[in-house]
Parts: sequence; C-alpha cells; structure tokens
Amino acid sequence: MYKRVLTIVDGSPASEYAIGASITIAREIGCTLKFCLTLDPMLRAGVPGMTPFAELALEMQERTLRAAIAHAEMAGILGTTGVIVSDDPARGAVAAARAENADLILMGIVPRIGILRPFVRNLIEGVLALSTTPLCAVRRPTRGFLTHRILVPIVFDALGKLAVDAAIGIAQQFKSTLVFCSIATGSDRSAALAAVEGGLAAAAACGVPAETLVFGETPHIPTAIVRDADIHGCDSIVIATHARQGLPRIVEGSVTQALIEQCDVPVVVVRSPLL
Amino acid sequence: MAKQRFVFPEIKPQPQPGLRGAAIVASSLLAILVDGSSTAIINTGLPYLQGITAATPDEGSWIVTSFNATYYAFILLSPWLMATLGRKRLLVGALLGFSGLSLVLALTSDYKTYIVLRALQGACLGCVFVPAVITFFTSLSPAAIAFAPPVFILFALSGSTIGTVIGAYVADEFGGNVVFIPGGVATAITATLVFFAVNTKDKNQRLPFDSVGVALSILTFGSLQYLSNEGSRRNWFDDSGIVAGSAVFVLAAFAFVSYELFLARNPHVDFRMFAKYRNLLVGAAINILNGAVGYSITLFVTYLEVSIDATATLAGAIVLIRLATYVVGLFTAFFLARTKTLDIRVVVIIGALGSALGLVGFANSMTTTADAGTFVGLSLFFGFFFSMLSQPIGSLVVGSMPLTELAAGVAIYKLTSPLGLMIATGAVQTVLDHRTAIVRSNLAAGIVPSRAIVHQYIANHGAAGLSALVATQAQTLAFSFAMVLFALALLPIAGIVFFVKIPKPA
Repeated sequence: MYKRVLTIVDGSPASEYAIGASITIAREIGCTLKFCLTLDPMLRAGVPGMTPFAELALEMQERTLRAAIAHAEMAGILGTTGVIVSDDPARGAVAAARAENADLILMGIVPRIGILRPFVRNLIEGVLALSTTPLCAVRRPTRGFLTHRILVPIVFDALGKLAVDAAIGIAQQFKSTLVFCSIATGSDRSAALAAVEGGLAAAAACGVPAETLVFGETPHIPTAIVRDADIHGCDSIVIATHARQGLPRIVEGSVTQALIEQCDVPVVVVRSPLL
Repeated sequence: MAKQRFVFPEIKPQPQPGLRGAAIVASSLLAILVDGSSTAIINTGLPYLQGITAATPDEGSWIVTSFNATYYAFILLSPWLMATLGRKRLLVGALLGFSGLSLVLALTSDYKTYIVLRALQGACLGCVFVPAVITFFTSLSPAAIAFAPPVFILFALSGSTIGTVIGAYVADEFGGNVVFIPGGVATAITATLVFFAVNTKDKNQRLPFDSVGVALSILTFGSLQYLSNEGSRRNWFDDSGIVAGSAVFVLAAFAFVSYELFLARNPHVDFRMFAKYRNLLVGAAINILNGAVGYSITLFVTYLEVSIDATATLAGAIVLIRLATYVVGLFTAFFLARTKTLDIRVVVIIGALGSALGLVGFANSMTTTADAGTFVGLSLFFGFFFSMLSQPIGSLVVGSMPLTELAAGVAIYKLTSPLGLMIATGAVQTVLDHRTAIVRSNLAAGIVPSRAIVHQYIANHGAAGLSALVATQAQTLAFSFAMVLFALALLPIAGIVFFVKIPKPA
C-alpha cells in the first residue's frame, strides 16, 4: 500500500518526530522516503527586495533537508531524497506529493492554541482540503513500532467504511492488529455495534486480526479515543475525515482535528474524494 | 594599481528554536532601537549639556560634531570590525562601551573630557547598528524571514521618534547630564541580553586595518557636521572657520573616496557598490531626501516650544504619536507590494505624495494661536505615509544585495539618512534665518504706532512686548515656510523611484 512516503519537514521539533516516524515506517516495509520543504514564494529570486532573505531562507532549508536525509541514511534508509518547493506550505506539500506519486504524506504538528484556533486552518487541514492522499500527523516522538496495533474509530456510515478499508490496507502491509472502536449514543448501542461488527467482518474477510471496542456516551469524543488508544496499547490511529471547510468547519468542528491535536500516537487521516 | 581586498563578514543563518531564538530576535531589535533612540535622547538635551560644560556657542557644537564624526565613520567601519572581532563580541563590546561612557559623561562637566568621551561614545554606538541588523536577519526562521524587512524598518525608524520623547521628558524633569542615563541603561540591558542570548560562532578573519581610510572618514564626517552646525550661525563664508571647514570637507571627502576607490589595498568601504547595485544608488538618493525631511521633526519640536510654549515632553509626545501609524503604514506598504496589489514604485510615490501633503498640512497649521492638539491628526496622517515611503525603499536597497555584501550595504545605506539630515540642518537653518529676517522686516514695516490697536497693545505690553510678538510671528511663518520646502523636497522621489531596478521574476 505504501511504496512512496513524503515527509514534510520544516526544522521544528514536531517535524523531527515526523522524520523519526517516516524512518520507522520505511524500516518496517522498505518503502522509499522523500523529504519535502516549502519556501515562501516571496523568498525567491525575482521578488523585489528579497535577495539576501531568499539566500538565507534557502540556505536554512537546504541545511534542514541535508540533516533530514543524513538522519535517514544514518538509520539505514538509503536512497532517501529531498525537494524544496517554492509555494504556500499546503499547496507545496500537495504538489510535491502529486509529483512523487506519494502514497502517504507525513508531517509533524504543533497544536494551535488561542482564540483564533477555530478560525485559522493548520497545515494538516490545508493539505486535506487539497488532497486525498492519506496523511499521517505526528505530534510526539514515536514509541518503537508504529503499526502493531491500530485503533480505528468508526461510525456506521460511509466515512466509517472508508476508515475500515484504509486500516485494513495498512494492516495487511504491516501485519497489524486492528482495534475497531465506536461510541454508543444514549441507550442505543446498535449503531455502534453494527459499525464495529462490520469492521470486524471486513478485516476477517481480508485475513487481518481485529478486535472491537464500544464505549458509552462521553462528553468529549476525541479525549475518549486518545484514552482508549493508550489503554489498549495502540501505537497509531486511522480515522476518516469529512475535511469540512468554511462555516460548517467552524460550527460543527472536527473530531479528527481535535484528535490530531491531543493524540500522542501518530494519526493517519484518510479523506474520500466523494465526501 | 594593487588589487584591492574587501572585507566580507561571514553571514550564515543561525535560527534558534524556542525561548533562545525569541531572546536573540528581541535583543537584536532592541539594539536597533537603542541605536536610533540614544542619539535622539542626547540631542534633545544638548542645550543643557552646553550649560553644564560652560561651553561657548563656538565650543558647544563640538559636543555634537565629535560624536557624529566617529559615529558615522564607525558605522562604515563596523563590517570590518564584525569580520575581525565577531558579531557578538563587537555588539556586546560596543553596547557596554556606550553604556560605560554614558555613565561617565553623566558625572563629568569638564569640556575637554566631554569632547573626548563623546567621540568615543560615537565610535561605540556606530558599531551597533550593522551587527544588530545582521543578527536579526540571521536569527529568523524561514517562515518569519519574509517579514524581516518591514520589522527592521519599523525599529530603525522608531528609534529617533522614541528617543525624542524620552530625551525631552528627562531634560524637562531632571535636566542636564541625566540625558545620558536612559541610553546608558538601555544599552547595558541590551548588552546583557545579547551576551546571554546570542550564541553565534563567527569565523574571525585577520585583516589589515585601513587606518588612513578611517582617519579620512572621521575628518569628512566631522567637517560636514561642523559646517551643518555652524554654517548658518557664522553666516557661512563670512567666517574664516567656515571657509577652513569647507576646504577640509572638500579635500577630506575627495581624499576619502579616492583613497578607498583606488589607493587602499584593504579598503573598509566599497564605493563601487553604488555602481554595482543600482538600487543602493537610487535608495541612497531617496534616503538622503528622507533624511533631510527628518529635520522637520527638529523644526516642528522647536516650533512647538518657541511659538506655542509647549514643553519639550509635550512636543516629543506629539512627535511620538506618529509611531501608531508608522506600524500601519509600514505593513500596508509591505502587503500592497507583497500581494502585488500595487507596483512597489507606486507605493513609494503614494508615500512621498502623502508625506508631502502631510507637511503642507503642518505648514498651514503652524500658527502662533495653534495648540498641540491641532497636530495630532496631522502627525498620524504624516506617520502613515512617511512609513509607506520608507519601508519599500529600505526593503529594496537592503533586499537587493547578496548575502556576502549585506553588511557593507546596510552600513552605507544607514549613513545616507544622516547625510541628508546634515545637509538639511545647514541649508534649512540658513533659509530659516533669512526668512525670519525678511518676514520680521515686512511685519515691522506694517506696524504704525499711530493706529489705535497698535497704540493700545504698546500701552498694555510695552514696545518690547510688541517686538517679541513680531519676532514670534516672523519665526512661526518661517517655520511654516520651511515645512513647505520639506514637502517640495519629497516630490523628486516620485521621479527618482523609476530608476529602481525591479528584478525579473525567476
């Protein structure tokens, strides 16, 4: 499933974690790695009054890229390459992923805080708005393996089906165990049970070991998912997202975003082109 | 002719994450601010300093001249010092030197000691700007560096404005030598911050010192500053001192430029940069005009104090108001050019015309019956357009040079504004004197003692009162006239800016 992984790097500690995660993935399945840095389009030759600043920025990005490649090579991942794209970070990352035909985009995340949080999109939202390539958000250093036990939060709908399919694909490649989880609303557990049973059946059909988990109503779903990932020893999460934009994003919010911002294990986000 | 070898201080990006990175950026910005404000603070208190040292009017101007001669010369020398000493060592040494000398000056009243200490103080402060700017640029992350130009210009522009009000307040409240204390304390704090935050490791280069060039540079700037201070007061070429000063300036300037261009094997200034980088030449021309207009601040403060009896603090506060719109104007200009909403040259023209309009507004409002509140709106208006004019020009000049020559370019560009200020000081002071005399004669000619109202005024206030009224009125009209001249000085910018080289998109 994952043959070419593109990791977005910016020199921040979070992007170091993303590099670490991509190395772990490459070690497990032997995929090729490519690092991508974006450079503000203002900082390129030809923009009036930006010559030395463009030189400084380019030198910094080249240095960061060299360090990332050296890190991968030190870890035994040979043939790792890198690219610096002069574009807006989200557009640049998506363009690089398309150019490389990447199967997975990996990036570090620094949670946004403050009152503007609901109104300003982070880079992950920006990328998800432009691309359907699965995206792996990394907030903390990875702990050993990434894909032994994968928590898959689902509901009984098309989005849940998408998450199940993506998780099974990953599990087949990494020989992982899936833990399908869902939330029972009120006293009705049938929808939640149907979702996890559906996931279990699909996994069994593909020969993927899986478990189920249904928990009761909770005041904050992302917190419950994070807690369960920890309790059940999951080392990553696969979730599907609507990638809502505009007013619906502000009004309805996003479980995926909240999960990404507080989860200690990597979160793989998938988005259907039809949703 | 032997091959010339220029100094290129090592400039490498060294951004630091977290608190240290923020501390480096803050300390370098503080150093840029301190450079501009320290000079302004002391200049505001100059009349007190002349009194403390019991200097005659002839001697008094040397307090400024000795400082500025070394200040300007060491700005040009600072890239060489950066290359040989290292950025951090130079910055900390210069800031501590300035701080220590300020404290000694605050305790001194001997005229000769004053002159020597002021020269040393100028040398120290001259070494601050360039390393501070380079430290700022190289400490930013790739995401932040695109915003470096407006922030740098804002701090460079704000220094003198903030310094004017601090100096005025200190002079008003405490007077005398206390004007040295704020700058001394600010530089000590900045030095401490730089010492603990900045951890750059520059490669030190061993290069011969251009002693002849530096001596000629000090002589050139010293003589120009002397002419600027004394020219009008001594009625220019009627005075042998001015004739001698002019001769020294012409010879020293010629020798300085020729020596650096052709004779020095290790020149500390590369005047060929003007030929190499057209934007430096165009920007220098515009910045000289901007610097000349900078004298309008001094003139305006004098008007407020002389014509409407404002305190120095109030006058400084009125000037400080423009800082609010500096921020808006700077970022407006930056984003208009960045988003390509307007061509950068059009932004400059709007800035120049708006600033000129603001100055005309000042000229119209400068009457003996105006009050300080009259100028609040005008200050905000002028601040907006003046910063719109300053930001793109500074960005274009600094941003046109490659990294290797950035320090040298920043040093040369920094000097262009004071050059304009020196020229304007001499020229405008002369115009003011003449204009005041002409207006005073005209006003006096119109006063007929037999007229009832004149008769009544003399009865109430005496002849001396009437004379003072005429003098104040004449001076106010002369101030107003000078403001129109400043407005006219900005108009050529609308033409000069078309010589700017806009690079073709890559």
